[in-house]
Amino acid sequence: MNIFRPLLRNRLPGSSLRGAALLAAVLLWSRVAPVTALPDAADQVAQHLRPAGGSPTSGAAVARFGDIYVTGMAVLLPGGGTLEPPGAASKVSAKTLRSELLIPSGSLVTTGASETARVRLGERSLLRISPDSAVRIFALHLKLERGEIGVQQGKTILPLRILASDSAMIVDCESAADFFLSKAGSMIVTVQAGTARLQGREERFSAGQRIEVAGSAAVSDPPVSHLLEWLDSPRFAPWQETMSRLDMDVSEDTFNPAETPAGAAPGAPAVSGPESAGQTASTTGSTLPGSFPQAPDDVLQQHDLDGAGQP
Amino acid sequence: MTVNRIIKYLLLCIMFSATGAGPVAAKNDPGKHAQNVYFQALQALESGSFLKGVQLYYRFLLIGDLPLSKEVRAHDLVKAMGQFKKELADKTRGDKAALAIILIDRIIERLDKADKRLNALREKFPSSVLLAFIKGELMLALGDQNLAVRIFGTMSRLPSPRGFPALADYLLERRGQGKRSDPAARRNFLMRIAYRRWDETDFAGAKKIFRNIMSEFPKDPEAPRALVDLLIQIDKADEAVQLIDEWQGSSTEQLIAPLPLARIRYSQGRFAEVIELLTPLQKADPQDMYLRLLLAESRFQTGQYAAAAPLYESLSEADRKNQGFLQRWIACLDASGNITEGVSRLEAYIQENPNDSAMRVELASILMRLEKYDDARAQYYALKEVGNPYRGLALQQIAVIDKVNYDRLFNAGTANPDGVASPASAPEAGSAFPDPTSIDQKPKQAEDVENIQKEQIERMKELFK
Repeated sequence: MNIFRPLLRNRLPGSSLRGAALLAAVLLWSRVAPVTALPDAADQVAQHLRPAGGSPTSGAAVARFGDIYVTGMAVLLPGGGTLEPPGAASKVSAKTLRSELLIPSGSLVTTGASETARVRLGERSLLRISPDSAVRIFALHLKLERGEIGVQQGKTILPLRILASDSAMIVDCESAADFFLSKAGSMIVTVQAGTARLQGREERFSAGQRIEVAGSAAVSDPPVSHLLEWLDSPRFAPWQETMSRLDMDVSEDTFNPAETPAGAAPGAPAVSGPESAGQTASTTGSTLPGSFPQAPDDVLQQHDLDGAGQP
Repeated sequence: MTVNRIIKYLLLCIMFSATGAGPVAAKNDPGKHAQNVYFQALQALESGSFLKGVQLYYRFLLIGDLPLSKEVRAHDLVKAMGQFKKELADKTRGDKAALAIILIDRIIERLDKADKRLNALREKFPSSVLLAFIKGELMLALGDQNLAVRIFGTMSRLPSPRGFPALADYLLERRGQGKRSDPAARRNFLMRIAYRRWDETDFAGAKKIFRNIMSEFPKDPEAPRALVDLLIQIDKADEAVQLIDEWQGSSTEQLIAPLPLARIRYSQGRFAEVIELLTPLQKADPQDMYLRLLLAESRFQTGQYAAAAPLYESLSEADRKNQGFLQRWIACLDASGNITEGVSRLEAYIQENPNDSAMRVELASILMRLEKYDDARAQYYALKEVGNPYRGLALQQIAVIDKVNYDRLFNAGTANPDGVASPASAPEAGSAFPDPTSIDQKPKQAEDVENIQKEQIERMKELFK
């Protein structure tokens, strides 16, 4: 754990300054007081802990808007997604945007089956809206209404609050998590980095954990069968198709031990590594995709280590 | 029986079990979800079929596009790793366990470890096309494209290469480095991978790929633009500026427009420059709300509260539900000595949004500063319901106000000739409640604004507990 992080965050742009701060802290800790090094380092730290802006007229360390109202300074980035502002205002497609668009509080951002939207929150946080999803953006929280979102909460003053159905989760600063809302109203939360927690609860879930949230109850590492609806998302369709074309379709695992694949030459002389220099890039001459003459099998699963093929 | 035969036998057992004992869900509902390799990998791991699970996970890694951070991948595979480490010393299972550990190390991107172990295993099984494939793919992951291609090239001459060369071709083609070089496909692939890394919170990995794209496609502005955004997100605005300067030195095309440039300056805290950049732009495009916000906040940050006030007012009028704009506008009015107008606006907002506790607390705290204790008490009273995040604060403040009123009634002219609360009745240090004796309506100094904001933030933290 970096004990200096709270001290240094927000206002230390350069690694050299971090180094200087670290040096100063270490020197202080070790009670060594070199007359020259310490004040310089401390000054550097102090200088960069001064108010953002550094204007001599500003005089005070006023927190920046985007560090407090992270979702209140949300901008839709050009690309995917459709913005529906509150009231009767007309929709805006991110495809037509030339530059970033400030999102009014209460707006709904939706995505189609094959598009992903990106929304920058504050200055250092990011919201990714997966295909076929909808999220409403308020000044102090997000409300997931359908599908899946991923949030990366940067170095901010306040954490990020995500509401969905009747649950409320908090993503801590310098953390990231993905949220999927099921049709029944439960959430699958995957903590990608840092920590997250249920609002009103002390227990924090850490990076790597997956949680099923229903109301104010959370179960860590739920049974895999509970992930079916999430992983049935339309956004998996393109690569599922790819998997089939590569003859890696596990649903058609029709391995036949008696079958000797065409072209296989058991007992052929082995070419052992290290690879000789100057060999060509050519591999097989087969074309991709969909031109495999062999029966569907799973090359990564049906091969043995010594390369002799099936008996 | 040789070790090789034992391994063959074991692997065949695995193959049969994989064929015959598919995931429960797939069995119950054939066809549905059967294609989702990540799901199947998790099911296999959950059921204790660790090798199958790891193999499926590896396939998911190669082809899938669900962003999962290294921490998530490691968490998914931790039990399997534990099991395989135990099996390493086993004579009959050791090689298989080593293969599985290689795959896990590859999946969680301990690439050097994976490579070291893989080299040892390849020495033992030099004709294994599976190991050759993994080696080639590992070299791709390590960025050694040429060596990867050479290794893939050896596979067709190994015994029983089956689909591996085709899979290798696919991986290369997808990267735009198949038989026919396709620079556009390669660039798109690399951009996709960089964004995926970003989504996986592997910022260093994303940065590295963006840098690679920039060196491979030096005229293409998309990667440096994306990298600028990434650098700002990870609080490295200075590096972003350096990147822009490098670009300007090598190209006539402008990398970023004035507005994003202003955003970088804003991120660096160089607000005077932001004002300089945005003032003419705002005149040209007065409808751009984002531009207006950056300008308003830059003025606010430099203490130009009177100039920031109309900008925040218009932002608040255009987005009436955004508490941030309203709070900033009121802070500007407060700092300019015009808090009465701010109170009216806040009261109107509360009337429209009676359930917004945070803003009600905001109003109550200003009323306290203005010594309008009875009005403040009414606001706090509305917050004292069980379950309200500000209930504790509300009850505390009601008690303070009641004591102040009591003191005023019974002790006026004796203990406190000014008729205001005695220090003893003021809240304890560290409270979110300001000292009622410190009220004035003169224009505030930056330090006052800072202190007021600190109190605001402390109060807002209640919303996130």
